[in-house]
Amino acid sequence: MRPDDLAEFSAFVRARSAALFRTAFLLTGERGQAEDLVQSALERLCRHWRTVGRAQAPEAYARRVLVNLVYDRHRSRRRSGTEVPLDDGGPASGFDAYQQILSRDELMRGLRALPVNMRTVLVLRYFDDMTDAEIATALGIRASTVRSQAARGLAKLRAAAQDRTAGPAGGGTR
Amino acid sequence: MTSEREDAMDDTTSAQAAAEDPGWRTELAAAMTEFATAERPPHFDPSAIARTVTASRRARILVTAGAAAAAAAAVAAVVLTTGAGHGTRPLPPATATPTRSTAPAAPIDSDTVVRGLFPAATMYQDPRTRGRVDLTRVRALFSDPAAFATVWGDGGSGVTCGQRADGVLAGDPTGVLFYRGTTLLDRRASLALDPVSGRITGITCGARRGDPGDPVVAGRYGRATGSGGGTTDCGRPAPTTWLADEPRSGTVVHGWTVTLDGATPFALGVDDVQGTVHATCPS
Repeated sequence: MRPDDLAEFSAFVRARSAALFRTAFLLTGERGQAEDLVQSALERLCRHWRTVGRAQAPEAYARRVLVNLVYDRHRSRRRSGTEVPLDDGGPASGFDAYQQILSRDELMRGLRALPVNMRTVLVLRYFDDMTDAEIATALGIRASTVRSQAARGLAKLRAAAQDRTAGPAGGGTR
Repeated sequence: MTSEREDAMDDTTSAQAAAEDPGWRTELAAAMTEFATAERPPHFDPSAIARTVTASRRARILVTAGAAAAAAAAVAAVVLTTGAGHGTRPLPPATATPTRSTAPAAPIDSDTVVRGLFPAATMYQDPRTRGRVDLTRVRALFSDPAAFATVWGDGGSGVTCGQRADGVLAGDPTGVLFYRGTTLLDRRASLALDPVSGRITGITCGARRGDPGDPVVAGRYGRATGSGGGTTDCGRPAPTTWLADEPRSGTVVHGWTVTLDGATPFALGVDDVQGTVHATCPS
């Protein structure tokens, strides 16, 4: 890597690696795996820095690589039969002083239980504030598919939260 | 139902969900932020990353150059299998002595190990292709001669866990599955690699434990290597062995890097929705 490329790459890593890590952490729910995925994504970005950096799209590239690595890991886990079960058996609880904390904890458990493509769309949309068009580009799918994945993901999350609390949770009105 | 109509229905569903409960989505975003920011991000060292990438490139170049020197000292151009592609670049004429003294010291990456070891083992098991295997090159993948003797075993059978195999599916070096024709065999292998040199130090064999492998890939190449006439790709009209490694997946398409008879690897994409398979041959 040439010195000027290394300087640009280093600046990108310093500026954006924390954000990439947080996205990876949300997608995997495990710190160690999130670290590994970001490290791998940054290595691939470094390998292609001259092309990607010249196109002024390093973050989009890194995010796309990161998501593909998450999908690869998910596929590998599914093949080896170690996928985390959809419901981790968390106890249902009624309203108490810790309702908000419990509700957010349940939301995160529900998020991790979603199919990986729905989970990814929701994280990119609601955590990374990406538009549906940006998500579509990052994932290589149509914007309408992004919208449908998001809608289905939200519906599943909402249903799971309501099942756990045996009643409307977090403002559900159904 | 057409995809356009599905899209229209999806849009309707999405709009209904959005109108239903915006506060709930705000709570979801807040929960994500709270969860993600609770963990302090680790430090990623850009210089170390750059060094890792550079070392990997150098290792691939050195291994390739070493093989070329062993085959023909006068050869001045070799195919470089760098991550960016499979182009042909000229190298200075290589002499055997300096190349051999350099190559064993250079670290190698797991792709090089997997693509060097498994095609060699499966080709060695078939009398028709045994003569094409360069055992000197295979030995260079191991940390020392004892590791080679232990792992390689009798006629390469140790590499395939004592099974006669002609297909290999390597999701990663620690989870390698074997096929004979289209039949997925019962034992799986896990390679142990030296953390510094990247070379093989040992192998562990165990039960497959229900891993289904990849029937699409096995069906495509297993029929070719077995009794039937399956599909072949990228200039390998009748391969006797196949290796699929470096798995990757997108939202709709998953894929592998495929090596037929130890030749230049190429990308294979499998469309999970349409059920179609597409090979991208190196230029």
